[in-house]
Amino acid sequence: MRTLAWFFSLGLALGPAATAGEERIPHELYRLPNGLTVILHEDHRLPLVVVDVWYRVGAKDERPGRTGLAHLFEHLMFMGTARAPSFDQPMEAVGGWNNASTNEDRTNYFSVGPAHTLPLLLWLEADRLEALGRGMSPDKVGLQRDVVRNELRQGYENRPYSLAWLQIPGALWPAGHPYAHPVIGSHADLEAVDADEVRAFFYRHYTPSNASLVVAGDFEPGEARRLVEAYFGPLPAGPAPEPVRAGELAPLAARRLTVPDRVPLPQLLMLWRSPALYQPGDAELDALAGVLSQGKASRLVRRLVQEERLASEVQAYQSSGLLGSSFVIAAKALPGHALSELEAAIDGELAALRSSGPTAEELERARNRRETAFVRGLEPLFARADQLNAYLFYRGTPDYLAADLARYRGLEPAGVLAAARQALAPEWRLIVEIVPAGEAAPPAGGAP
Amino acid sequence: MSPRAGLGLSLAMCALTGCAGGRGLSALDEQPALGEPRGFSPPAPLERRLSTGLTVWLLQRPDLPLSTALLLVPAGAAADPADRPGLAALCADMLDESTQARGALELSSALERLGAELALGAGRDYAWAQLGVLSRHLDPALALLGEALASPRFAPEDVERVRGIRLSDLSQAMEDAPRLATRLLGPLAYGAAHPYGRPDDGSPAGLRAITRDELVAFHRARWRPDQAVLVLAGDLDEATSLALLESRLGAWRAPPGQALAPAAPAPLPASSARVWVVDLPGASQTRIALGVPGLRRADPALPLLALADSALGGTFTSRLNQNLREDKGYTYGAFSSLDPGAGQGLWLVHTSVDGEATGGRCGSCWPSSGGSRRAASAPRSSARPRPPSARRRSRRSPPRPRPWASSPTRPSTASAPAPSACGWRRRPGPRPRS
Repeated sequence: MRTLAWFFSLGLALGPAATAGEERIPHELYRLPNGLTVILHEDHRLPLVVVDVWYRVGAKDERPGRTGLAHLFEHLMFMGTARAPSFDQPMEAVGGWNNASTNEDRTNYFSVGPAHTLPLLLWLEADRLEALGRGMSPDKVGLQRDVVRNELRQGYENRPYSLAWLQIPGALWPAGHPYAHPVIGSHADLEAVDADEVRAFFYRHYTPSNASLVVAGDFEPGEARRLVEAYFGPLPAGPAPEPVRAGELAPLAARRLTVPDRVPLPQLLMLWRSPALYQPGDAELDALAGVLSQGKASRLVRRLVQEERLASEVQAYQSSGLLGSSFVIAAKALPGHALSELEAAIDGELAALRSSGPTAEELERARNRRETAFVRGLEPLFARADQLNAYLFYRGTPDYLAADLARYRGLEPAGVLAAARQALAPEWRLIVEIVPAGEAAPPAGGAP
Repeated sequence: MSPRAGLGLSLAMCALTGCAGGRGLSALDEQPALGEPRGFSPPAPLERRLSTGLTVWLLQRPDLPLSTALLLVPAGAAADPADRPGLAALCADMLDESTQARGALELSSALERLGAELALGAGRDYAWAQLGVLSRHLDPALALLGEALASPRFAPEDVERVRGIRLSDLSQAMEDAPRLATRLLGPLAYGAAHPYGRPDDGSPAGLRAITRDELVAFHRARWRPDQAVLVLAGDLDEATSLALLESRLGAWRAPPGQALAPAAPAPLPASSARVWVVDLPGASQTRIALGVPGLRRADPALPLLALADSALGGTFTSRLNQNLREDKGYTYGAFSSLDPGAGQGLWLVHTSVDGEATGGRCGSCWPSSGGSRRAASAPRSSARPRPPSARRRSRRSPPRPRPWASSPTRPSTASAPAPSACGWRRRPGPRPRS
């Protein structure tokens, strides 16, 4: 067998695994006088460029009664300005495309285009940061409100097993916590938003000093600097928004929630509050999730799906955030089995893990799969651009790849055991039972 | 800045809108002129053939630390017997279960130890296996793939477990409006006798009827290296790649005798416009799935139709999405796609619209070419359907475990237990291939 060195490319510089600490996504970082952070990542293998902007605002920054505003605003960022009445038309006309997403913590916007379109991608991005507020109107807000309410219907109300996730944030986090409501918001709150509030939200959060811009791909750095300076340099810094903080949390008391949904078979969810992204315990629980549900031989899959055939699928994952994370186990029952049977089987496996932890071999499997997924995840140019912004946002530096990898390479069974004992106590969890609504809908395919 | 061509345009826009520039923002006042696109030549694979008859395409990617092997075999749902819809799908599922040499758990553990990702599935024309692994582990991972392909055990207990999971998954499809609409569309368009008129993921009756012997026979007849293509991409030179594939996949051999001819589907049967209505009480949206005759993949007119598709519903600024979403707000998105196959495919339109927008309001949005506005007559079924079901392209039916969150941005996947924790501007994820 040929031993391949760990050279990366795809714009990543990874050293041999033995010399951890040298891996990085090559980049230059600088700041404009108005506070905009700029990161340049060159990769000339394909004639493509990516412009990826993060604003440090998300659903955590919303006020009561206006949940969903951060995400509705994200939609409104594409509604055009006086200079560029359409954001999409000129971009798609030259072969580009874009998307954006909002989560609890932040909002990102990314545009991808052929390399020669970089001036246009940057111009469109700077233009809306400068001019979007002036062009906001009740018609624009009304239109995207309708679109977002359809996103809420499509993604939650009309998607089996999804309704419960509108209730889970409020059940998992205490009242007043920045994460205690769903990112998508509610119909009532979305209805209540008007153009003045949208404008105020824009002027408060959408400033150069609250943003970071990554330019990635096939460009010449001097040219990129010149374009960024010309388009973004003159924008005023704007006020610095107060960062949102979450106070000390008391442990979650055990709770149960039953959610009827249009589903043929019930699903069991268990959720715990867990350590925030990159905090001690976060990587341990990520690895523990692998030990529980990655592959047929993982503990929960082996027991519930392979051996006892109680469930059609079972998944465990650590869903990490800036102000806190949740550790989730989800299992769908097979016909003829009650959720109580699934719960007992899961509890049995959790008790065993809390008692003696994972074996070294289980942890090795989990680490190796994590490493493959990590490398694969950074293969696309866009993913590297977004990861640089993510590291900057969550760690204060884009230079965090080596440290991130080291979190996993350094895992030991004892550390994972300690994290499991600390985070996954049975008395501190939320249990959600998603059950078929009524008896009107007999299972059409699964029942024998 | 380089005004040139952009200058005329931005002046025209200022005249129309009364430009609100000023404050040293003059660079922003002009939409930049762009230079010429840079050239791009897609990489050409080296095509070779192994001693087993397996066609191999090699794509050398210097310095890439990952290797990916994608195997395609003409063993998709179009090869299902008419009374066994689901056979191709179940057969693909069984290939990462027990082998002659080791049990399903052992095979899974061995792959996990290498950090290897192995996925299998069956689409309409083809079944596939995809292996992804860090290149330093490619050799042993390919050996495991070779073992899975050459010597599946089809152990009765594995068959029953996987069958049960597939049946459970089908029962969920009946409550999932987008999936239900997709499953119904193909069979309604092609008719149950056509190879494309049966759903990729089978039917409850078909799945229940499949025997172990039928799985063994299907694998033997259809999963043959001399009918398959394997694409290997990674940092490997030609000689190394071929030697590795010969040794690690060499045990996967075609049985004696001629291969079955691949299914050669007849053209889409002619029909007039028909509308089917499926009542899902309590649904907050209506899924609209529309299919009109498309093309075979080999049709020389395909690139032209792809351009038409791009204008109709292939991009964000396409007509359907602009009209239904950006002008009217009826939906989160309305798109079209081509689905060309070995046989004639459908040209598909998909959207989910809020209940009130379903009828006349939406009907007026369809482009009026092709007679699809005539939305009256036709068989109407308002009962809960007993769906002949339809194809789900290239996705394996039982949702796979979600990969570990590999990025703080936490993008969702279709198989995640939770809906995306993010709100997105548009639905993320790979577009349907066209």
